[in-house]
Amino acid sequence: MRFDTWRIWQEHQPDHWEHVKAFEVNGIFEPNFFGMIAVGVVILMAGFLLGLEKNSKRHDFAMALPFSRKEMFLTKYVMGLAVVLIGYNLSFWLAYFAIYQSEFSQLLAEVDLTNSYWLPLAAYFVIYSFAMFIGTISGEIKSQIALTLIFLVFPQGIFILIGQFLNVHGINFIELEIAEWVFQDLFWFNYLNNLFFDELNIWIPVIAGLVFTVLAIVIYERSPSEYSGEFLMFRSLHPLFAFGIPFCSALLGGLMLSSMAPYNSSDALSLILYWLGALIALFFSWKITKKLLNR
Amino acid sequence: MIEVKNVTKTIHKTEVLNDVQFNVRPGTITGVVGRNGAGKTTLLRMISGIIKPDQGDISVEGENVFQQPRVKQDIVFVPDSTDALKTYTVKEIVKFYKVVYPNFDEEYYYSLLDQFKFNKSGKIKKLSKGQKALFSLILAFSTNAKFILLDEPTDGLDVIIKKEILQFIAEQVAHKDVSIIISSHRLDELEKMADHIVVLKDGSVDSEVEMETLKEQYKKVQVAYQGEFPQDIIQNLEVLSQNGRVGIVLLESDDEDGEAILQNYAPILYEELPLSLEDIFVAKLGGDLYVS
Repeated sequence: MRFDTWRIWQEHQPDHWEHVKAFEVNGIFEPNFFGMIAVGVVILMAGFLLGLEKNSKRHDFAMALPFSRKEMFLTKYVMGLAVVLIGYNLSFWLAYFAIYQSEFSQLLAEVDLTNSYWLPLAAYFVIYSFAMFIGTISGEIKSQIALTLIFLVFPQGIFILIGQFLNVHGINFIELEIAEWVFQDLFWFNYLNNLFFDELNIWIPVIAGLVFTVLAIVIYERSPSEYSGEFLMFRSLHPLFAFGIPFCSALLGGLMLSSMAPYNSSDALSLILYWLGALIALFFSWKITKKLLNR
Repeated sequence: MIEVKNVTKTIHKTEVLNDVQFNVRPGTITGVVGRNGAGKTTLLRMISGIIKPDQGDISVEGENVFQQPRVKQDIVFVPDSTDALKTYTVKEIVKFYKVVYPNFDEEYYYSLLDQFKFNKSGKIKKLSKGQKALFSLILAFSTNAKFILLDEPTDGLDVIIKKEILQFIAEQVAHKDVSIIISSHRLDELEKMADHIVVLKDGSVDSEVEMETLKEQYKKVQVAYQGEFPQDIIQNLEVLSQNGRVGIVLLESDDEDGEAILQNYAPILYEELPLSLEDIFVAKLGGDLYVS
């Protein structure tokens, strides 16, 4: 289908084709929309590997088996990682060979294969490891998936939330260097976008992925099974979440309502809307948090 | 041997087990008795390595189950539900158990399935509730594990299947070198089977008795008095029941002080009655849940 379009452009719009061919062939290797679906699948898979069994008697069954927790975790981890690796390599190399055996094979010279192959793979690795790490802290599949999604964008999210809070109160705080690092290097989705490939360092997701994996093993070995099925496996984290969820929700509520203020409205209106949004969000998030943590 | 030493566990800020200590000798049936919430299931989950004690130590054949998880090849925990197995077929689960438990006896497993007329091609979730309970036991005993932990194995089953299951357990213990821990609040069931009973009350071991000697430790006495039934007896002794001037009292066999109190009020009737386990536990645990 894509080749047909290329052939049409090559024959009927040669100038246009010359202009876009490098972009087009690189686009084949960029994860883009399907990459986002793959991220969703990776997070779900981590949920199925760790969170799902905590919702049922299968957790007791698994923990009573004659294996150490490290063996149990690593078996699950390697199984999931194998699925990621096999799935990714299949799709990448099938695309490569499809182009290689076609009349467009010379276009492969336009592709930075090293970055196109390794950077998205590193992104899947760090996201998978992170989802497994969150799976060791959370007590069931729904909280695992929700917390994974939230904490994947937490560094950037908290930056934006605090930035808006300060902005509304007349303070400009953003330190550009830190912001760039947080928004570029720690935003794992950038590693799935070839626009950023030249600016990214592959070692950051690789090292982060390894750190999450080691932390996950250590935490899985220590996680108290008596709390499986609850929102969190560790009671000691309850105060942090009891504060963190309403706090972040209040900041988000404030951001959402203050951004509804007309462009040319006064700062006072933005401030009033901000605090109104924050208080509404705080009220509901406090109720929800209490329910979540007291289950 | 399983050794439970000074085990304490707090869950949700509630002390579920407090300084629990007892041993399970090879080839015996140990009954863990207690009311709902006494900590029976938590105790079994700890012995099988599912949850860790806050304090104390649990060892199986001298090995700590948390430090040496391989020792769990000799322990099978049978929970009160077969939910964990429901996606397997009767044949698939064998492949899994053969890998996990090296002594799994496939021939024995299928012979038991034949004996109890199981459909060998279906999924476990298709079995009836009673069949699931029986199937869990067949699976557990086929592992040839040295220790089998049964959590309320007959809970919610009808009388016929209950009898079948208890008979099956008794037969297995007679034929195999296996130790069993059964948690139950059904004294009538344990009375017939257990060699050793551990009574849990509010998370602590209230008493630990050998069945052979248990009935010798207590006596049940019916007494009647000329006048009103003495308040002294009601307040100071275990009165199982009292109706007007007549009462039934449980005494420890060597309780001379208790005996003296009874005699002090000059009973017009003093008669020893046959003693059941239920009498002892109702009195010891202070409840009426322990009915047959």
